[in-house]
Amino acid sequence: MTEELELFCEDMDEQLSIMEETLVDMSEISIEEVDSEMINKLFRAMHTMKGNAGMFGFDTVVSFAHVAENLLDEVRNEKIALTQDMVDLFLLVNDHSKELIDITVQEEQMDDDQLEHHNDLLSQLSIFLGKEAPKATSKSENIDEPEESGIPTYDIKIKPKKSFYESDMDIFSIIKFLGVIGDISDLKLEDKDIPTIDKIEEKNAYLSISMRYLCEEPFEDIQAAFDFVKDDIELNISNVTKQVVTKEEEIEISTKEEEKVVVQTPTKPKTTTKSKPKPKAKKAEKSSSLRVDSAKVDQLINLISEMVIANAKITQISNDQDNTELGEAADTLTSMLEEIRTGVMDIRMVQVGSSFAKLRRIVNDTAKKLGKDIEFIISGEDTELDKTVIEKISDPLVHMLRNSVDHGIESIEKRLKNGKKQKGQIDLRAYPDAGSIVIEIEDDGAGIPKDIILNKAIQNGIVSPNDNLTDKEIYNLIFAAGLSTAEAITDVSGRGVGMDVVKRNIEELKGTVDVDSVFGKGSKITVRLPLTLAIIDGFLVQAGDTKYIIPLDMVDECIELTAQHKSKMKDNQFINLRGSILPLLDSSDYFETNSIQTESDRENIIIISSVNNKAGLIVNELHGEFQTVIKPLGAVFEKVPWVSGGTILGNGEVALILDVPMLLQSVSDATKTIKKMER
Amino acid sequence: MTLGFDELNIYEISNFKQEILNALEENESKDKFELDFEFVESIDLSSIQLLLSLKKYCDEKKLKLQLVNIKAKSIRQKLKLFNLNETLGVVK
Repeated sequence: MTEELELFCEDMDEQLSIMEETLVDMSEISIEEVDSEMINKLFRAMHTMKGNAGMFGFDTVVSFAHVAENLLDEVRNEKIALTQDMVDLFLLVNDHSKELIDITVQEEQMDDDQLEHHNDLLSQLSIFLGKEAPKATSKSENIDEPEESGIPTYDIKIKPKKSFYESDMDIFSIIKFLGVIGDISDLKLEDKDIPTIDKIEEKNAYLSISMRYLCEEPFEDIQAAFDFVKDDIELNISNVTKQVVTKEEEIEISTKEEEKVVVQTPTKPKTTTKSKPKPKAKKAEKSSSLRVDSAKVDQLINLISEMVIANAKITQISNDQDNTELGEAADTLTSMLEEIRTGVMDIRMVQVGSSFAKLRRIVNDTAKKLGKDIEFIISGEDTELDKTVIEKISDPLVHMLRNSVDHGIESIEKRLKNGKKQKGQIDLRAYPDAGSIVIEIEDDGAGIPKDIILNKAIQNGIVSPNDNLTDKEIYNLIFAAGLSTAEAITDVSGRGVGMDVVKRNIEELKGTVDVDSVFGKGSKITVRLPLTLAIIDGFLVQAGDTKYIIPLDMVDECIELTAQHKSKMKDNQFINLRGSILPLLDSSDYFETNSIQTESDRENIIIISSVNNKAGLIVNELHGEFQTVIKPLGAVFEKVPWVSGGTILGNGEVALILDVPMLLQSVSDATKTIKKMER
Repeated sequence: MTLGFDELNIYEISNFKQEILNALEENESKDKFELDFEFVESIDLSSIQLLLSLKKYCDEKKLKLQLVNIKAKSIRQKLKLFNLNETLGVVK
């Protein structure tokens, strides 16, 4: 896919998201509450979509968007009243536009079903417009006569001067820009002056370009598109807008009169700039942001990661050689790198809001399909998360929300019978917490029937009847593969495939998922995700002959394992930390490291924590904070427990990154097992 | 004739023209002249103009011009933008 086409797809996604978000907003309020700004937003998005598609010659998209745009135009001009059915129709139009753009970009054809749906939508739009439906594949409407839409219409003629090509200006980028701020039609190359190839002076320009152009932006903005080539072309812009007249005005205004605006620019010294025309009018509100290919940001992060590793090497050399000057320079570099790192990582951080907005649509549609009345409340939309994490968490969230709607929230009758309010509630929250982002999905539905879950798990051999599971452990069985307790398998959920995949996807993102429920009252699923997947602040420790990185956010404190501690512990694997009894893990036992002679005899305990779990970890040496570039360990080490990745230290040595949540979870599970055995 | 240019632009236009003229001289077919765009990735307006002048020449000589193997989407888009597919004998 070319860069232009990629940008086109991104633009389309953006416009479609705006439309979807606005339509979902509209569907959640009464029609009387819909304000003109919402309609204008829809119109602008559809208009931009049409313009951009026109620029690429995607005629089917253009003609489809054109009909939808016409209806929106009528609504915004209050000629046609908005109805709820219309909002529903526009949601379908939005979905179909997405599909249509995909098909067009892939250079495919609509299949019979898609074509039927396409025609059906066109018919429905036309019914609202009170017109006959246009043909599905027909090109944009009559272009010979200016439409009576009131949109200013121009005939533009561009005649490049003889030396135009040598200026190396790109006329296509100007046409493209015009397509962004307006609608181009009837674009023609006039070739009558071109000689045959054996007679042509190939560097001279002979041809000219003409087009019909509809644009609501000020005339100056249209002219401004040609700023960079105005010395190299003859430009003629004629306003041919067909006047829309009221009966009262009819007598005074002649509709055939054309206002002619001719711009013949005087010859000036040729400019040497090669800049392309700058988008102004329509993009003005976005002038403070810059669209950058995410691959470029990834590349920058990779480079910074390599710089962090190289800097660690310099620091190591300065330490080895006891070179203070080099050490100071390395320190300066370290703090600068940290700032750059934070800045670049910030670029990757995206607010979860846009992703959440799409979920509203899914909840609404699913609720409608199941005949349920649900209020979906989103909070924390401005919480930021790494773009990759957002992209990958989207599917699991969809699945969990569908489950909440399908199995969580009861039918209206059941809710009323149980003394609950008719409208069920699902909350989707996002907030930062201790270096992670927490996403919660909470519903006030039926809750998880733990007996049914347990019996099903026993039947499927997931747990044994003798296992004495806590409520929480039973609830978490919903993430076991192949366990579905849905009484009816619907096309929404209930096939027992999904929640295990949800858990796996979240764990692949180095996140955790946890479920809590009160039968009859509702359930809450908590997803905890790392802020980023690239570079973290870590704490470097040594256990035996192996170095480990513990994410700094999960380190509570470091203490010395004193003789006093040891005497109090006796043979127990617990430590009393200011009155709190914590499990104590000996890293050499856990990680089976080879013991080595260290510089000091001191033994250290690092107190690590994650969510509600906390433990002490005995290590031999503490090396301190370390900017950690996360490197995947590859398939061979994939199954190594409690290790989530690796990093390269300054001396080239590899340190393993501890998967603290998994480690603490396993300790918690083991402790419970011991307790059960003791019973 | 297979075009050996990555980019058809003002810097290559003279070479482009010369190659076409040479190929026209050597063209064995009496009724067809074919340009293969397999390796061409971009085209500018000057080259489109040259193709139109080639088309005029072919019309005079009763040769059918065909542009084949246009793989670059940007080229296809530009030709489509100006509705030149039929005029220049683009073979899909």
